[in-house]
Amino acid sequence: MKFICLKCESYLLYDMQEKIEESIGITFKCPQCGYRLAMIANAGETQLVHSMGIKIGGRTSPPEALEMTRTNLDEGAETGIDWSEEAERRLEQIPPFVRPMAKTGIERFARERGYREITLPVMEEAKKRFMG
Amino acid sequence: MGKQMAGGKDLKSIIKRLEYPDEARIVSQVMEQQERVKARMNRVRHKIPVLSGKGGVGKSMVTVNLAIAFARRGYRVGILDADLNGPCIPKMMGISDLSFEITQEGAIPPAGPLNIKVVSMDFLVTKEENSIRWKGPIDLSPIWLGTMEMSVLREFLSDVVWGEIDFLFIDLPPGAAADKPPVIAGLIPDLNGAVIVTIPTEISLGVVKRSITYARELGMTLLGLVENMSGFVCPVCGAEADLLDGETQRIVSDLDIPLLGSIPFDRSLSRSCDRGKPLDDAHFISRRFSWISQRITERLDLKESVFEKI
Ligand SMILES: [Zn+2]
Repeated sequence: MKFICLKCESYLLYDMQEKIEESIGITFKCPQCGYRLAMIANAGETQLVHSMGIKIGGRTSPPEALEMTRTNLDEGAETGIDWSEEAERRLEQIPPFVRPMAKTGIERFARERGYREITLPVMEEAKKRFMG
Repeated sequence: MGKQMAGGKDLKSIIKRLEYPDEARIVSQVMEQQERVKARMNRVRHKIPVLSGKGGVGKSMVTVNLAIAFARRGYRVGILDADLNGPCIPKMMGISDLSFEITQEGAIPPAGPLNIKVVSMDFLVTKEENSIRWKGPIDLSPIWLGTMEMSVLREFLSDVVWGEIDFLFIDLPPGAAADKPPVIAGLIPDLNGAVIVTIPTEISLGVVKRSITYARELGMTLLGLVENMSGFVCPVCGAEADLLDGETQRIVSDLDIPLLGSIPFDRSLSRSCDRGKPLDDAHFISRRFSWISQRITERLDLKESVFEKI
């Protein structure tokens, strides 16, 4: 799906996305006049894209093996902890080989502290604990 | 007749002039996924789905024993348990406690008896759970669930370190309603031919005919039928008696599909599956499976030699 700026006769390009509760807001921008347009995908629509194993805007590193399957399985121990969009992106910077270890470590830390969502500040906090 | 114009402009001609950008990287990610499946599957010589019309015909049991028969003949074998909601292959192979090893190269599948590589949902769920639960919207839409399951199968093909193997058996869940056969056919365009597992009552009632038609509509080549629970072996004297009349053979010849072989009902076979230990290779049931495996290789060789002539 694409949007077109009819004034400039040009495709709007993907600009950024943000998580708004269960929905996701995606912003597009006209490369010529700078016109911006935002669309909201609800929880169901977001899940649909996610269940295809696709990240809007592309990936910063290749997916881990069986990533979609493993991250979407609702398994007792894994539930209750969400990752914010920014935290997830930050996690992707970690080399794939050690990523699962880092992920479980941070989730365990968050669980101990009673956090429901892992955000950038939570990651910082966890980092301090692991490094210190 | 005026065409509906977008803001007074002709949308069709605008699009024609523009190059479609993929800066959200959706198309490229889908392409990459397909490439990864292809790269893994290129190293698998024969990809064989195992189908059945309905449940309860012992399809998984036949798949496991076929895999064992091929492995005993020296082939390198893998099984993909495509039944995501009732995976039972690992238990039958006695490796239900094992799991994948996630590495940079991909997920290394557990190996069962005779080094048969097994991939199953069973390795990813805790054993107390008997059904799979996915994260996400509570009111699971069938569309979303379908996409999810398709992605799981894709990952099972693309993200698993199958390595060089000769035979990959794909144990598909029963029935066309499960929708896995078209998914598999879509993911692996070069399936080498399907095996259909049936039981005598299905043959006599014409149920198997529907499975055959369905598989053919999907463009699958059919290697043949395996008739399971075909007769009764007397536990005292070992003599085999047909549970059904000689109609079976006649009906099968009308179906225009070879009968690869028949597996009589035998308690030791179901017990071996319950315990997760393969039957001894001298057991008469093992010899039946060995015979069926030879029929399959003959059919494949024939198919290959025919194509070479074209
Ligand atoms: Zn513009």
